[in-house]
Amino acid sequence: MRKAMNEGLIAKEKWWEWVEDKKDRVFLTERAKSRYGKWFPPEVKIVKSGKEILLPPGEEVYRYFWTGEKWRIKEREISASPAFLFSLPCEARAIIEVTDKIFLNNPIDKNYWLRRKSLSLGIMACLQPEPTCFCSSVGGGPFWRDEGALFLVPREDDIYIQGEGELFSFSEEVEEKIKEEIQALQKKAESVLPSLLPSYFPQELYRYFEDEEWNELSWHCINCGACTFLCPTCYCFDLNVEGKLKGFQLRSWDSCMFPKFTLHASFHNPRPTGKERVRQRVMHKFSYFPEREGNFACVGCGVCVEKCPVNWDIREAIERMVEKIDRFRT
Amino acid sequence: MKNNWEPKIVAFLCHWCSYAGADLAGISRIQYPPNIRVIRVPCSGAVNPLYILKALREGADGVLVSGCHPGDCHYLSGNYFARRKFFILHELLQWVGIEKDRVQFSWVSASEGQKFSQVVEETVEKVKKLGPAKKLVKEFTFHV
Amino acid sequence: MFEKEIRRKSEELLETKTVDMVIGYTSGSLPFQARPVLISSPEDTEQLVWNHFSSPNLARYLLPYRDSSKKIALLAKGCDARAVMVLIQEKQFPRERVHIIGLPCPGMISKTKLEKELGEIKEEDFSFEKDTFLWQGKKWEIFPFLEDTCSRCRYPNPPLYDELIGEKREPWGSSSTDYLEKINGQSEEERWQFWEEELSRCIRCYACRNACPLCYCKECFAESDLPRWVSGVPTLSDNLFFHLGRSMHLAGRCVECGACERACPEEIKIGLLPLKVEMIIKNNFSFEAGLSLEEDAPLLTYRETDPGEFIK
Repeated sequence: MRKAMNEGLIAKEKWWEWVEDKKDRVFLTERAKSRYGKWFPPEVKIVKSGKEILLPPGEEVYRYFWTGEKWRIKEREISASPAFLFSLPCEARAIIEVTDKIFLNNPIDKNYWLRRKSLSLGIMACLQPEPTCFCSSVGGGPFWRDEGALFLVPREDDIYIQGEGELFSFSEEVEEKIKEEIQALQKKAESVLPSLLPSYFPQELYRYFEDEEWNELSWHCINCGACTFLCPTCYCFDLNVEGKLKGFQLRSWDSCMFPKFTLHASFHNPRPTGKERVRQRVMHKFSYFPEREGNFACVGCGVCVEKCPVNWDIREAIERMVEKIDRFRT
Repeated sequence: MKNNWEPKIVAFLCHWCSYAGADLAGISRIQYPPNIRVIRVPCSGAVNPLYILKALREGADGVLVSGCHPGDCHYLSGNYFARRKFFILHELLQWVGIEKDRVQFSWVSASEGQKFSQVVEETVEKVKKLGPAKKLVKEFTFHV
Repeated sequence: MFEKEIRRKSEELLETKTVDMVIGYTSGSLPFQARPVLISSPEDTEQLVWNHFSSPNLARYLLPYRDSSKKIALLAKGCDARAVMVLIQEKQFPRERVHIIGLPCPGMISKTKLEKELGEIKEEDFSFEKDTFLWQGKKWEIFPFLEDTCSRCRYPNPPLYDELIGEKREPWGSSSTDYLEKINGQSEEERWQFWEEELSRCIRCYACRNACPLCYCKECFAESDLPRWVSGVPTLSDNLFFHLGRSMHLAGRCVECGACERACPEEIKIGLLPLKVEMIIKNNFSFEAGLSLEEDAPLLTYRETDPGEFIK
């Protein structure tokens, strides 16, 4: 249930005043930079996705040492100063609808929470989806917005904003014709994107767990892990201790594509080959997570499709399974 | 950098020649710098290039690998393979920008106690000139 | 460019049961991209393509079939065939079970370079020939748009094949040593800065390792727990360790195909490290991997005259 949000128009000069003042605390995602780089000073920090800030690729969790009589553990104190992250709707949705649900629910991940509560999100509307985008098929959209984030549509000499925050203290009224213009832009962007996946998809997909289709689908994947590391929603991490009488515990990104991901202490591995791992990735994003949390764990950003070295396309996997489901569904 | 900084050098010595040579240096009461940390290996050919990288990762300021003279290897040809392997590793490390004198090699036989002490002195001197190792040392903070 | 011949030959091989399956390329889901495909029935051979975007190294796809009894036909470019040779030499795959369809390589074009130079492009507007292409009514040379890994290729013709489809060609001209000359000529600090910049971007996704046909260890040293060589954190020191270690493990085995560099999502020039190792071996031990089935690997042999001045 979204309450009605404030709307406003920020003149270019006021925007630049505001962003110049904040520039050492502003993060911009790479994809947002390629669209809207000219709206930001060059000193802003570029990140690949919100994941880099909230769940860094590697960090120390605690240090320990043996005093001669007992073990001493010193947890690493992290502090996060208030910051802004400007991203595209899909990347912001990855934070709000996926990683927040994982790390801010019971139990709350302290490091993630500290960083998240001081991070304000700014969603820059996506006016020109790429050929690899499919956010609308998983419940998002090029103009997706949330009451927890600021929404911006940069125009020629001003920016249309929606939401709350200090920017509204120097915004102007929005005329009707500008509101119509924004709506037209939204329709135009949405028209090139695929339609929403059927609501029965998560449940039905699970029934095809043992299907032979997975053999063919997973054949050419090389199980590298590039997709999982570039994905804004993939959140799996590994904890490792290094050292003997003194050392560290480290948290780093892990990938379901790595062979040791599900290696048990007994040396049994329930996902021994690529097929099981590819199936797991699709199932997790499109069946297990939505059944539990209500939305897909994929935001349709298409980065995995763009960067896969062998052109493994998750959209094709989904299409084939939808086709199969529809064919046999009564 | 403190003026009284002393480098820590990990030395992989082959059991049959170089380690015995180092032992002889000790018995003969030959003085040499105490900066080396000796790891005895069966043969210089048994030194995996990863050991050298690992030593540098863990904070060693220098690495010395020493084996039998070519032709004298206890296992006949181990040191020949070592010569090839380390040539490649040394060139590669230099090419990437790791200082040439961080990783050094020598042939020291079991009767060359004097030579061993000279080799250590040379190694320590060269590494001291380079300063503490920074380039391959492990670290755990990832900055955004 | 020879697509019809390839499809016909594959159909023939499958119909006569000379092979059980054909591994080749088919068109991808994105423009300017091809993907590996497995064809097991003669009707499906229509899916095979062969163009300037068929870049993954297919020798890698032989690895899951090491222990099976199936006979496989492989469409192999120059570098792919060299990789198959090394796999045969290392007894990873028996020579009788692989039927190599050699394809002299026209060079793989980089989609990024095309977009950078020509702006927004559509696949339908292009017409590719062997060394040139037509776009917007003009004829363009392919060389400036080749992937870096391909412009330095010295062996576009497969050194081993059961049949050859296409005409043998000369290498592009810029040799691999030229490519490294620029870095060789720089000072130690400049070289370090170059590698620091490149490897800080590495996220350790292991796409390079998984795309490589010769990285087939059941447990990679990077994922080993006992002993632990590198941590999971992609800091510069661990990234450097991993890539130096991988290059050393490929010493005398790397066929310079560049699949690692093309696979990297961060576009790091990661292929230069194993390439440098191979150049060191070529210049000092006169050996190049994957060119002859009889020659012994360089780290399994030695000569009395090997360079040793660096040893005190």
